Amino acid sequence: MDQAANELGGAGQPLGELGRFAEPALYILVSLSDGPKHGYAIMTDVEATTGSPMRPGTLYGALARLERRGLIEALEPEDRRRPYRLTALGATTLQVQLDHLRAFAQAGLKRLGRAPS
Amino acid sequence: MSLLSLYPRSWRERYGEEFAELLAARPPSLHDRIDIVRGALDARLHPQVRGTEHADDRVPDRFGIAPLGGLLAFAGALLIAANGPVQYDEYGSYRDGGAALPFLILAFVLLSVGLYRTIESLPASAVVWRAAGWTAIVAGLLWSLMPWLLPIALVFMLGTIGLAVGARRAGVWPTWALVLLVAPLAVPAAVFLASLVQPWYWLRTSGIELAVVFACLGAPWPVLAGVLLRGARRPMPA
Repeated sequence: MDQAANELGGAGQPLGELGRFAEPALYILVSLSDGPKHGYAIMTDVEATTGSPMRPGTLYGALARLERRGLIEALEPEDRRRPYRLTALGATTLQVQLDHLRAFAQAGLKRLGRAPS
Repeated sequence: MSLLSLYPRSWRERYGEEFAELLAARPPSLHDRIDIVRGALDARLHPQVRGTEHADDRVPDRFGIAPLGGLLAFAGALLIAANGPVQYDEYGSYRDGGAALPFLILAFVLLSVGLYRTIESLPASAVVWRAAGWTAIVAGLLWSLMPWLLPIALVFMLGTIGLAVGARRAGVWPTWALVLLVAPLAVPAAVFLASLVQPWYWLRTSGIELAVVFACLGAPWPVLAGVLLRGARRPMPA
């Protein structure tokens, strides 16, 4: 999965410029695709979805990059937690990334002779 | 030191509260802590928070020239002391560094200006750190009059480090200044403390101690000058 995600974040891809944060950024976008979440909720959701821990420094490094690029936006804080939500640009970017991932996965499966029917 | 304090001020202003809340909800493991340090380094090298790193947040302090001049006087004192006339007594020979004394005094007077400006930049509530700064001033001036009394130099070092820690905690000094100050000062302090106990007592008589102390003691001058001329930040609200 890491290799596939790295491929997503490669040169020429929308998140490719994020370097080592490309993969966590993709996970965050996916996590926010079903509604706003704050940092802790994103972290636990990503861990549940991918099976890999998302650590605090990486989470906020990716959040800051996504926010700066207008892919997510911060909402009003609830207590001391600030939820984030996907912007329209973020949703489009995620769609492009997932389409690319699907094409990449299909190409790989085809080479393996296991292309989905 | 809180892990959060490793991040730049602008980052803390934007994300600090929610980040602290996250760490409270899930206490960081060792791996998390390493990741946070890495994240703080990234935030400093590749700042993502725009508009909060105010250019006018820092006001250069022209009194930074004083410690810079003090550095020249300190270097001059070392040069003169190292080339003083050779004297002989019943214990052997030594170089008479008496001529360097006025330069040493001048160096510490000019350094005291920088120390004073740093003390004044601290909030009034930072009583301990301000006291450390005053201790550094008094001990430094005393030691410049009696440079053979190394314990006074140790008090000066500890006072200076205390002031620097206070300035860092108040957000007035950047982390790099604290590191540049403490790292060289820690060397002579460690050598001196080691020389007080066996089996390292030989340091007391070898001359290494003095050489290391004088070589490393120059750190406060350029660091204070750098911080003041670059412009210290206003203290962060508690």
